[in-house]
Amino acid sequence: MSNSVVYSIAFYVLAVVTLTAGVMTVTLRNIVHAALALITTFFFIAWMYLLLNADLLWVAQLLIYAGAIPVLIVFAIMLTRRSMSDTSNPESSSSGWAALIAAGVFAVLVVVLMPAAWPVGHYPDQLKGTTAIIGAELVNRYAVPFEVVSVLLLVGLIGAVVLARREEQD
Amino acid sequence: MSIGYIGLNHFLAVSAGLFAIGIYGLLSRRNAISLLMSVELMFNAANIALVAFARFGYHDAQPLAGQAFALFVITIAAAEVAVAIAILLLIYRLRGTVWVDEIDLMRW
Amino acid sequence: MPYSLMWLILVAPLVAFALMFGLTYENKRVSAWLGIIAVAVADAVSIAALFSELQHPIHVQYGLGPFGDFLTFADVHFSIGILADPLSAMMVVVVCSVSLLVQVYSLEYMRGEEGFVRYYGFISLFTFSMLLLVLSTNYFQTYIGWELVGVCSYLLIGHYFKRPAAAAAAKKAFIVTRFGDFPFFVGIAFIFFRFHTHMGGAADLDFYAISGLYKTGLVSQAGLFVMAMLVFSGAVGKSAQFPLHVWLPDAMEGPTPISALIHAATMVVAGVYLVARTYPLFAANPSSLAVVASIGALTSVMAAIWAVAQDDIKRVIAYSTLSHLGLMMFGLGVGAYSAAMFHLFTHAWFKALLFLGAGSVIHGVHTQNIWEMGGLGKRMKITAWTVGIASFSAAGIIPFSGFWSKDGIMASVFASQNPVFIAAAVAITFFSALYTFRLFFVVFTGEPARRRAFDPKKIHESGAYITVPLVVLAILAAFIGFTGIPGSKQGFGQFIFYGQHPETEAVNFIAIGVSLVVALVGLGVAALFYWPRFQRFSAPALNARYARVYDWSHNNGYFDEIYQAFFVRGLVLRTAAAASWFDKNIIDSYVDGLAEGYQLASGRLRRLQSGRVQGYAVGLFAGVLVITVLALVFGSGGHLS
Repeated sequence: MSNSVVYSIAFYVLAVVTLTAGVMTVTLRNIVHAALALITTFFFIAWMYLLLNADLLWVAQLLIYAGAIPVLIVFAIMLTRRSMSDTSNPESSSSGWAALIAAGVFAVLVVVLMPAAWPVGHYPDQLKGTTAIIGAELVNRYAVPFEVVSVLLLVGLIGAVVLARREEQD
Repeated sequence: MSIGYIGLNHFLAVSAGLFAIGIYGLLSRRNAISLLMSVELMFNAANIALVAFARFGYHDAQPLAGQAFALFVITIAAAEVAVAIAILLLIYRLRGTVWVDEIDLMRW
Repeated sequence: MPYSLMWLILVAPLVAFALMFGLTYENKRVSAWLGIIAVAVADAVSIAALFSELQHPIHVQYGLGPFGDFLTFADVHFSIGILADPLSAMMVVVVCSVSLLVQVYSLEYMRGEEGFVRYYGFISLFTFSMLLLVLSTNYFQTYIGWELVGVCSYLLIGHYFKRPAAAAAAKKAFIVTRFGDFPFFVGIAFIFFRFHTHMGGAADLDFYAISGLYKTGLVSQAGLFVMAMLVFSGAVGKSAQFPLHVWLPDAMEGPTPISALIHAATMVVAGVYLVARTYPLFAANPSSLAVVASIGALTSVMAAIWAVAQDDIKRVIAYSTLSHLGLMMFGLGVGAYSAAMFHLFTHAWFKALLFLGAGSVIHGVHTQNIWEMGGLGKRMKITAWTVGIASFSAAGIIPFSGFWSKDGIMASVFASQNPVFIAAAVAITFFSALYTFRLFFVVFTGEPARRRAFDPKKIHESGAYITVPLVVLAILAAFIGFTGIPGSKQGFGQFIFYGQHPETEAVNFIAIGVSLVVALVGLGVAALFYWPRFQRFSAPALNARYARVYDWSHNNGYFDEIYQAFFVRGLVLRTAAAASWFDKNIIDSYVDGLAEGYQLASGRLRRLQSGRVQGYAVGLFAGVLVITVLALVFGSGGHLS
């Protein structure tokens, strides 16, 4: 099999698995199952990044999205709903509208994105890894956003602590 | 430009699909944590598009801008999740529920 | 030059008013003297200005500090300023002097009365308002002063507002003058719109700038007539001319010094002053002058006749005031500008004196009915003498001041050769002398016709605060007339006149003779009826014989009854009922319906505010979707190219 065929098979498998897991995330009526489906989605998206030669993001996705954030969410689930019942994540009364709007958004996105003439670039084939390039970009071109984001993370951290802390009983 | 049979549009289609799934989740679930997860799905959908653009629209003057952007998105999403879950816990503590249709203090 | 100090004339009384109500309200002595000192300062400055004008007649006007640009927007420019010319200088002296004397007089007259400081405060406010009106440079400022004096008049007539009659009289004065003020305002608007674009740098509505424009043909004769009549309406209301004269007699419910100040010497002549100030407008349209003359003559004759049949001392004098105001209008109407102004000048002194003298009498006997007085001459000598001088002056008997001023008007009336006018003038002169001396004889000679409520021995002359102003006014009333002897080279006519040059009319000895003889006849008739020493005829018998005439006269021509029946009951109340119906059924139901509609709609609409964040999100995404689809369908080039 040529490389292209392998690549195509890999893409389609990943796409189907990712989308299926995504659909399960938003349809499963048990919140813990939904969280597991979310982890699955994130996990396979990471591999999709690899298909796109984004090795740094592959790692970042695995660590953060498939690792850290689901832990947070699972903690939230445990702290709010003690049971793992099948009714822990029911649908609301607006689900019909939700389906309609989601379908509409999808249709519009496809209609707009597909025929568009995107600027085409030439990816340097000799490039072996992206980490070096992104690292250099982050401390040069994106130095200011980088610092701002670091402050944002700090703010998020402090904010979360302040919000979630129990009021001290005097 | 494409890699074998797979081009930019294939990835954009996945991105659009994931985004629509996120919207559906956001609008149809009752559990606030589920809403949060849906938003994360939408973030990831956007990230896929960004990384795909970085791959297929590579430009030497600004190499891999899409990937850098995606990194920022991941960071901001992490911060957002942390704050959102803190708010959620607080609401749960105060109101005893995470059902979004029961949280209607701003009702008429 | 005192002109640059003339702002003090305005500011002093206003400051006194503010201080009285702001700081010294609790302290009667301080408040009263504050008012007196303030008006004395104003009086000193005005006298200085008058002498300055006398030496060198000049027209000076300037904006009053920041108020010089009182209202400025786009090309509209309203100003408040100070106008100094012979006419305004004469008027400020009259206003300030009478106000000063009245305030001194009130120290005793109002002693121990309720609302003493309120009374003084409003007198100060009134003085300020009247001076604002007199020193006005334009119609706009005049209207401000005009309304302010109206309010002060209302407040002071209603000083004893706990008495229903006083409250009603105050209301009547205010409402009746409103019938004149509204057309006046319309007239000002008319003048503004006609001449606004021709002001040439001067403030809008400026008297002097406009005075040259009336005759330029910018406005047709018909337009000028309407303009003049609208302005004259204001004067008719304020100066209590027919048909709006009904408020002045009732205004006597106010304290007597107020009657002297406001309803004799100053405010009621504001209408005459207004006509004089805007004389170029009237002069540009002869038919408007004819209307002024006719209204003035009619008012004067009717009031003089009614005055003869009154029993209330203040009402007699009030009708006398009406008659003299009518005479001034009459004079202005027949072109005797200088004489009318001179009469305004002399009238202020002798009429204030008459009122203050009446006040002194009322203070002594505590009644206003002349038939309960009688024989007061022996017990109130100063009052009797001063009121006597005022009577001679008011009746127009040589050599007292009223004679000289009335004579100028008579000369012009005779010169008009209009038989109706001449007859009216003769009638006015006769009845003036008759009612004036009837009053004098009944009050000061003989014995009271009715039993007095008081022991006569307790009646005594009033104190110095009352008698000193009386004597000062008596001196003025006696001798001020010599400043305007007809034909003199230095007199009043050479000082205040209309046009470029003084009126150079030859002395009309026929007019002088006729008016003097008629006045003396009037005096004689009064003596024959009312002076016990010469009494030959019985007034009650005559009244009984001509009961109809007497009743008509005694009841002021039934004007109050006619107005009550026709205007109040017929017009006002019916209009009010219709308006009430309209308000209740049309306006209210419209408003209520609107409110109910909104309530209904919002009751439904508010359900959109479910408070559920997901519902909002549905709306948000649906909206984005719809807008995007619309942009794709109807937009041009939604695609990247």
